[in-house]
Amino acid sequence: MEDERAGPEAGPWDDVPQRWLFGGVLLLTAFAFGSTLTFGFVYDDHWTLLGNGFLRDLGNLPMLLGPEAARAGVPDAFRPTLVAFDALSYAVLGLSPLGHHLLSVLLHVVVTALLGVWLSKEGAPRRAVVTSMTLFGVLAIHAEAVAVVSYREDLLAATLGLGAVVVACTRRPTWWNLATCALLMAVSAGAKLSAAGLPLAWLALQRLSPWDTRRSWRDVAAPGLALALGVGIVLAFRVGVLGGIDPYGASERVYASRVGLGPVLAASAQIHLSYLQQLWLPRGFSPEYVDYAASWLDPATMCAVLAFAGFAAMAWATRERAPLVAWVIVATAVLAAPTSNLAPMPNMRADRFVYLSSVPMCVGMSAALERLGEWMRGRFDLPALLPWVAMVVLQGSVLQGATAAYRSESRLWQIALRRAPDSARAHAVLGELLVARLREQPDPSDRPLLLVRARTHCAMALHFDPHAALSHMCEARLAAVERDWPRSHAAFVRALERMHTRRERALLAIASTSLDLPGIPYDQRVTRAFSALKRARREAPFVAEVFAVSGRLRHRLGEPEGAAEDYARASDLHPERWDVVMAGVELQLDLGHTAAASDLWAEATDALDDAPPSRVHALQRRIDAARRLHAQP
Amino acid sequence: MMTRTTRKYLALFVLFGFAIAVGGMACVDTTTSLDRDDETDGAT
Repeated sequence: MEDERAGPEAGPWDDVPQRWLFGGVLLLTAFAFGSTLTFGFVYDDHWTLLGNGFLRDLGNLPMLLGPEAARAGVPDAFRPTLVAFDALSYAVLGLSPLGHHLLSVLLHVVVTALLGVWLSKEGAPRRAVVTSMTLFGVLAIHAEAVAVVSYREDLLAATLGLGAVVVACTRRPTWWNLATCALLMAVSAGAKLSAAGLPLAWLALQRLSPWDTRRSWRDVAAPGLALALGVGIVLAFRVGVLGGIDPYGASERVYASRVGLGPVLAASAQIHLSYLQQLWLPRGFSPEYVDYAASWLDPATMCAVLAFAGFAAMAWATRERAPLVAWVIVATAVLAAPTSNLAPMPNMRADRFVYLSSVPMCVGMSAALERLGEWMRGRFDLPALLPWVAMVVLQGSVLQGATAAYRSESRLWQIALRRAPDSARAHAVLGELLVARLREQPDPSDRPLLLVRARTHCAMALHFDPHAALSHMCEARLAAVERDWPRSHAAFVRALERMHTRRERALLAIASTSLDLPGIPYDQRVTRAFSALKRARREAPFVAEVFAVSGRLRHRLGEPEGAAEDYARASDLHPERWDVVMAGVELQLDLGHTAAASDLWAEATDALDDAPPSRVHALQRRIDAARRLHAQP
Repeated sequence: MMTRTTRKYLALFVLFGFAIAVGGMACVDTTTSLDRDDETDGAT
């Protein structure tokens, strides 16, 4: 890392070596997120990482360059960089929560470092570099993006995108520099399209030149075009290969498809004003926000629109006098645009959406706090760094509380419900978690309390959003645990009608409940079950659960060869699933193949570490009994 | 050798760490009650 010159005015850390300057900030950043290393997998980690069989074989990766992966329902197939990164990280780390959380923290540390390198290359004074990096490193709104493994898409896009703009800052770039720049930008936008605003943010910085390092159009044109080319490649890939830029389409989770774009954009204006408040005054973070519509005549919408119009006017007015202010406003706007609900999004609001757009905001906040500090020094003779110190401690402290929400699945949804009590999704997921706990409940005397709680959450979910598939899934799973098969089946069918993605969840349940429907001839029930299974296998060929359920049903219906194949496929797609291993062993024992059962059992030692000991011992006893029976003359 | 300014700079970041750890304890009060909920759910 080259040593940068000091600014025109002597700063407090001018003679601190660059390695210590960056080292202090980066160690603090890692420390601030240290608690996440003990966290488990939550939220979307279950379907994008744990249950995603596509990641288990690196040989699948070429499929990402064509439409096959998207057609096969691979999660986030429209973000090929992210899926490739997930596959590589699985190959190295397996399903170690510690390893994956450490990777997320490291990515955030790298993003913080790249921010510092970028600002240094643009000629920012050391003080501005350090204060901006520190604020970005401990900013409380980053809790979700760093603490949830599957949201490293934002971290990855920022890492690669900031890498691209750092390369774009090279004086007199060579062809090699330009190619690297375009490639980094392409893989960045391939991780998440929210990075698509970076070329404009970079260009605005070159033209506004807040630190008097203005470059001519000729010097800016080539790297600017390389950055734009990188984004263009990804847009062309989406349109040409995947059939459109928008991957969500008519998903039931896109609120704009229910109420129209206008009311969603009006609500989005309010949401963006709230983001701004959360950046400056870190409170009100939540793992869940309820989508809503608003009127353009709402006082809150009008305040937000007036505020943003004011910011736009301020950017124009200060472009010569205070170009840093103008750049912060312009860059924040262009980086926030991809997640501003102009394009259909399954969540209108999330803390993680602010990750990249907080880069210019942190630069602006550090400059504003510096100005405040200078004023305080002149007026009250207080240390000029005091406002920045206070803001770092405030952000870092709130960050600790905000990250704690993501420690476990049940905690996350309980906090989500506290923050968003009218969220149908939070009620539905909590209902399903309680139903899952009911299934594992050994003591029947405790069932009534759990059952009442589960019923309440499922009823609330249906009350708040009767159109959401998750509300009906909750009702269906509740009915299943109550052994009310017709009610459960009907609710799963209603959920399927409302699903546009991951339909295998409902299809598998329909297959299972079809077999228990009363009043229908047996062969028709079997036909229905196999029809649903066939569709699930076609739509989700990389989901281990599809083959686990298929194997279980074929096992039950007397198709041992098919069941063995399905169990083997499920194990390939998710080798860590002990229940599939045990089901395969049980199948071999049922067939009287003691040797095959013993072989499977011996191969599965690692996977059984997480299995309940009582189940392991019961199956071990069964194998021992089969061996004794087999050994008898 | 580390200069005095470097030592002061690093000391500032160590103090940040302590302050954030202490401040963090005040900000995670809601999770204490959630821990109790988790234990209760586990026990029932």
